[in-house]
Amino acid sequence: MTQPTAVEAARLTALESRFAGARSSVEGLLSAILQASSHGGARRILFVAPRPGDGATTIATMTAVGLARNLKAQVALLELDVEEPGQASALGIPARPGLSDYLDGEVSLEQCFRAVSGVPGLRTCPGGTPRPAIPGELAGERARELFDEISRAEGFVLIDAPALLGRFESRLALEFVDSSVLVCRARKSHRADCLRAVEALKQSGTRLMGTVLNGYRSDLPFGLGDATG
Amino acid sequence: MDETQALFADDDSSSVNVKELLVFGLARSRYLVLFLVLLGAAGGVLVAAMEPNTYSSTAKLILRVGQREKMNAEVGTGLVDVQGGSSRSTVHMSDEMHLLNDPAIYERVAREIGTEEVLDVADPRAADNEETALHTKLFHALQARFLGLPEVLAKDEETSREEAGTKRVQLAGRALYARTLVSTDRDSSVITVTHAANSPERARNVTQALAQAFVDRHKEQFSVQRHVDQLRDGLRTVTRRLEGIQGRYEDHTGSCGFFDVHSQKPVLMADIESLDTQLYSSELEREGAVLELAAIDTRLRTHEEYRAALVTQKGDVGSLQVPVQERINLEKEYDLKIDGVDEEVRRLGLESERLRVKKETLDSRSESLKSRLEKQYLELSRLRSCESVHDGMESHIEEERSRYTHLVDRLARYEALAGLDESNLQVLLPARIEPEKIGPKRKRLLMFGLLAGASLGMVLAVARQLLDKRLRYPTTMERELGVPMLAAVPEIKP
Repeated sequence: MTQPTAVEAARLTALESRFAGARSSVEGLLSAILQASSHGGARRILFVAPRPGDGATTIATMTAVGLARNLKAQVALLELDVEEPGQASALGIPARPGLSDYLDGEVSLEQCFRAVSGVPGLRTCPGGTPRPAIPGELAGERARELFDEISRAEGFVLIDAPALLGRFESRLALEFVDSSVLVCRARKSHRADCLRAVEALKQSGTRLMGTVLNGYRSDLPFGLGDATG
Repeated sequence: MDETQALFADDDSSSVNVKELLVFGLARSRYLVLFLVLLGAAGGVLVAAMEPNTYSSTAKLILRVGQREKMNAEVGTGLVDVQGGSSRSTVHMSDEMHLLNDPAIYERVAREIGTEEVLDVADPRAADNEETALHTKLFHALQARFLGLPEVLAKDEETSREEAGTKRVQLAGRALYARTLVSTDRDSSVITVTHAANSPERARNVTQALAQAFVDRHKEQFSVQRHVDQLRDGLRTVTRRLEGIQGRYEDHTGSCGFFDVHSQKPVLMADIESLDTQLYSSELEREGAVLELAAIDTRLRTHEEYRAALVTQKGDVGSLQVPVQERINLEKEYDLKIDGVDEEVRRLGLESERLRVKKETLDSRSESLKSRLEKQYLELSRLRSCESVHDGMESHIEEERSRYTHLVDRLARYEALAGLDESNLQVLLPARIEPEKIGPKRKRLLMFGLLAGASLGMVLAVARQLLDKRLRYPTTMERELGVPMLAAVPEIKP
């Protein structure tokens, strides 16, 4: 393995410091993914939240970095949100080119998927140039080529989908994944929204691996409410 | 429940709910609960500080039901007498308790003691001296500030308070009533009066005043004086009625002319009987005289016939052929016989005259007696007609006299009872100063404040937890969504 450049090392340091607080928390998630993948599934995983802002992009990015960095796995990370993309910002990479640019035919698939310097094994296709989503574009030819390509990709494919409730793109993406992870934000996500999202994910036929409670900050003493057993 | 839910469902979801509601709710809102507990404690301390010390004093009264308690309005009229024994007309303890609930008693005591004394709060600093602990002095000063007591009560202010009107008296009466407990034990004649005040002396004074007021009220309620007054009125009425009847009796007696019917009637009857006897005897005597006169007349007629026969025989003598001498002797003999008859006729005539005079006298006497008897019978008839009216009046007079006598007798007894100064409700044990305070229970108030704050905090905490519809804790998320939770990720800053 080649030594990272100074830029790569700086980005890695930035990423590690950013996710440092959540490292131990993500271990459970990584273990679940590994366990699921070892049983022959859970290679293509959809990260989705009931409502925008619940943190699906952060969790997906963090998981991808963790898989690539800690488990030395090949990881392809795709952001489906073209309206408010956040993955590039999370990884500290340029927003363009991305999915919107690919779907608009401005860049090729190879240009869209870029390796993230400092995180060997991680390739990402961020949302691209922000623009309104075009209804049906994810069912189009270029999108199908994209999904076929990532289906054939080795390692893990993590898809960061827009909010499940109110956005149709996520439901289309469910056809190309075998597992899903629901991300809810503590003290923000309504119980009813999360339940509706759980029901939708179950009805799609994909395996709902579990949930991630994002932004959790315990307001109870003595570790009450923390343990999940 | 589908497969996934069944797989991850909590076996004891209800206990989890309770745990979440109570433990999580309280833990989450612990600062709110703590704040409310402290607030409640502060409130308890504040209330405790605002409440002045309370002292009580107790007096005991005893009720001995007597004749006065058995009297009623009917007794006062003199028509019925006091019923003894266990008649319901007797005052019972429950009746007495009702009587002692009279607000007027408390208002009277409030007037006696002074409305200011009743309504004003005792200054807690009054009992402080050099030996009083500093913290106690500070607390008393705090209390005085809370109670709004002025530094020194101005005399003119006190005077103006004493001149409070009826409303203030009523207020003071109600305040006394609220702080007084009048009770009695079952089957006991003892009434316990307990009053609570801000100082031991005030509690004793008010209790004593109340006890005396109760005694006076009882005395006033069961006073015989009004019965005496009633009896006096009744006596006056009976006297007037008696005088009226007697006047009418005298008028009737005057009009009848019989002043004493019952004594006059036998005299009249005796007189009538005497006259009747006299008339009878006079009539008998007259009858004898008449018979005697008839016999004399018969004898006179016989003598006259005999004399005529003698005269005829004498005339026949001359024609007899007898010697002259013999004839002369015969004529002489006849003359003698005729003289004898004449003498007898003259005597009988005199006797007849006497008898005639006697008969006339007796006739006159009988007439007189008859006249007198008739008059007496008329008098008797009039007497008898008066007698029935008299009897009625006398009966009425007798009845009224009896009533009068009865009333006079009862009045004397009632006046004797009215003269008694003692009430049958008496002070058994006078009120004493009890230096130990009975309240306020400051620790209890503090505990109450703490508990109230804690309760309110718990209710708010549980309500807050119940009303929170957002996901909050990893442990509850699994149960609520029915899906395993893979990770709880802390907030990551962009």
